[in-house]
Amino acid sequence: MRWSWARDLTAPAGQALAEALCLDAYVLVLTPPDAQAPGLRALLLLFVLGAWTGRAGSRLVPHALGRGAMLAVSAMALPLWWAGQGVSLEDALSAAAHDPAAMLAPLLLGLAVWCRGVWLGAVPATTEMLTRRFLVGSLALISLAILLALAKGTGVERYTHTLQLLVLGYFIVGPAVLALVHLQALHDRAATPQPASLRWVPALIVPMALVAGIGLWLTHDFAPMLALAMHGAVRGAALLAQLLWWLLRPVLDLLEALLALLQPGHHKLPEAIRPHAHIPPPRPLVSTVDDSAGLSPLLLLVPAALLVLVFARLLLRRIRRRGVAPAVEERTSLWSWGLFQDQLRAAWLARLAALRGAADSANASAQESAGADGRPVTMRAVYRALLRWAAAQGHRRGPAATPQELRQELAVSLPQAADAVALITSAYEAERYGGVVLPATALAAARAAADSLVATQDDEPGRQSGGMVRHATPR
Amino acid sequence: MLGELWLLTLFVVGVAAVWSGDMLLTLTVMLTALISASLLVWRRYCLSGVAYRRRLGTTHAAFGETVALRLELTNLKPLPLTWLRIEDAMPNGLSVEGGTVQPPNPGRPSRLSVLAAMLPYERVTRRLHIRCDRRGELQLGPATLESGDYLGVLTRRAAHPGTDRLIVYPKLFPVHFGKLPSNRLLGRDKAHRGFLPDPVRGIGAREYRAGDPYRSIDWRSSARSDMLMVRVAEPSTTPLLDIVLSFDTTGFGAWEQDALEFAISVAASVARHAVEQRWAVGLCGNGDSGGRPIGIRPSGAPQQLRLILEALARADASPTGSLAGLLVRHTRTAQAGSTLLLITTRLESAERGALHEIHRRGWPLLVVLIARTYKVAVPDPFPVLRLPYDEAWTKRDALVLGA
Repeated sequence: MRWSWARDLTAPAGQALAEALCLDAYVLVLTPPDAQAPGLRALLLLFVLGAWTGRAGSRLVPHALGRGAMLAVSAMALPLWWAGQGVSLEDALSAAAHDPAAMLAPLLLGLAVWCRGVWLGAVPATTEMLTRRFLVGSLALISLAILLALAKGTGVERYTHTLQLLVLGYFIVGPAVLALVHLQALHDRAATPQPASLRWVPALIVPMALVAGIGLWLTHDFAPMLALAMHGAVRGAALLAQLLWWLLRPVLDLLEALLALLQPGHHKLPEAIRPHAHIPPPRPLVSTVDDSAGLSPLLLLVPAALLVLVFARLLLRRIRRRGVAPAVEERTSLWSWGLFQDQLRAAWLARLAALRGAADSANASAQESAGADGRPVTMRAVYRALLRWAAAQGHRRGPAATPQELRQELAVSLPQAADAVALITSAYEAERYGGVVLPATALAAARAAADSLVATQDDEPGRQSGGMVRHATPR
Repeated sequence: MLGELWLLTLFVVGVAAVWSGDMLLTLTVMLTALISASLLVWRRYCLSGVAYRRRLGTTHAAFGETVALRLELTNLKPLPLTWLRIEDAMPNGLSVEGGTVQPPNPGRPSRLSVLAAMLPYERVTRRLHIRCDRRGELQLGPATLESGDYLGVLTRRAAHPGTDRLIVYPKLFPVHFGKLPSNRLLGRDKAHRGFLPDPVRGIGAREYRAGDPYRSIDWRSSARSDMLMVRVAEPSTTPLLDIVLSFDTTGFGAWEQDALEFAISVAASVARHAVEQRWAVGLCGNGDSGGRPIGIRPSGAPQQLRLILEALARADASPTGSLAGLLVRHTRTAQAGSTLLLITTRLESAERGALHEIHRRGWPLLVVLIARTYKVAVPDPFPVLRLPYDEAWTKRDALVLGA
């Protein structure tokens, strides 16, 4: 298998980064107040270096003995990481002599992180495995957030801002790594000679930006209002319940009295003991965790240089293949407001029809544009169908283009449809601009021409008459 | 994995988070829920508005020609697709320049894999080229469209049943006739007498003789020469060539199927040569072409070569009946005077007997035997032309019939 920048560098680093973010959140919260927690950068560096080492060992070193030697040599990163914490050896030794457990914990954490990073890099993960990891990480963050919410008032509020950033980073890095690994797997499976299209990047950024933006908006703007509404609703419900209780109280008293009459040996139940909640004293605030634990600039330069090399190699490969690959790819935008509005209208009508449970009602609500069979019944509707069809063929009608200009454009590029387009255009112009009331036969001919245009797209899935889009049948 | 229980749990925790007013918990739950919901939305609508169209540059191609193949992908919806995979069924052994054809798996044909990322309302057009390295009626499609959410967690498939057909003609060689064992292949080159002279081909005039039809009198010549003259027309005839192709193979050697392909190419080349010489040519064989038996009566019509080439292109490389029986039946219905040209890769006793009988009845006959090795046995009583089979026959420049 050939070397891949996505599979061998970016994906292990991304996985390590996502896990480092998740782990750092826990380390941040669980570090004792009087101890110094390793910073995110230190954790991240150890994780990523471990992942790259593991990947390099599994890909470049064929023998198990060589891999072991490579891991042993690469474990020198651990002392380096230790040195990066900003603790001198003398201090460390004296601290270890004073409190061995306090010094042992960071070392063990570093060792665990390093081993996890090596394992992440050495063992290739499928998309499903990565998804599970991502979801487990999400659950871990949710659990941590629940714990912090339960521990409110004990001084944990100081972590909120840092943790919000970590969570946001996790939900950006994790999906990006998932998408990258999946794309690489698809590309390997297809074994196409062309490199993956860079359109993948905006196609991924759009949904992720939407998710992040909507999530932030919901959290900071919508959730407080919703909380107010929920509190108001619950208060209202409580008042209503109280009112009901007040109304039903005499009846219940009467029932209780009757019940007492029927049971001669009844006795008073002892009063329920009301538990008194134990409120722990507030935990004293400790100093903010130092997140800027020492990080050598040299160590930061190494991954940066690697990334630069990777992208340079990627660009070189693309340039080389551009001259060799005979396949030519063209991209055309088919965007038009008219098409978008038509799709929205169609989706709305379909939703209405689904709600009403009958397609006839949806057709009736489509005003005069469509008949009972879903076909356009007015000349304007027929022409709109033509415009949709033309837009689907890549010929949008410009804002200043006349119907005749569109007809000429279509006649040049789609000569097989020229007759039908000319028929519809002439009939439309006669009615729209000439004030002519079209006879039923002319309208029927225009409808038939529009149907013939749509019928030329029979080999395309997901279409129906009038250029509407229908859902493809799931397997 | 992202089922209803997962979403219900997130909803409950989300309600609790909003109720508590905790920002961190709300953000975490919201992001988890939004990503989960967006994956479901993408899975639901990823293939809506997605169209796939395959366009061939031509429907008929010559052997060795390169045909343009245009693949169009359209995404007519507001959702971008980080990945859209198309697996288009292709005939085995077809090579596509600019694309990768996956080898066939058990139960699955070869398929062309296309992977694309698409923005909203975008059309992607890819231009590939098919190298027509084998004859036949090649079917492209059906295709399978697969896409899913932007992370590749949930996927969805849809079938695209549309197919396209490309007819690749057999390889055509320039034919050179050497010294033939029989001159019957060409029929009688020049007809010295004809029952029906061609009135269009006038070659002169002669004096009127008693018995000449009045309508042959040339009045202008008669006026000039002051005696009755009649038009003399050129006697015409058209050589008839009836090609019989044998699909019989022993089935023991892998080379035999290739030799049969060579035989098909020889038949096509001879047919083209005959049409170029303005002969009437026909074709029959003990095989099927497009599900129907091969049988084209000799004709000099302009579309005759195309009919023959299409029949040979679509021919299945397996026999559907005995060659001896076909020869016997064919000579009963064939036009008198036509030359029978049998192209075969094997000659067994039954076929020899039938051919001997045809030859004994005076039928013009020539047998082209395509064989890997020569087995010199008892000479056949009918003319046999041996054509050596070579594995690199597709690289031949010409076909020489006869020494």
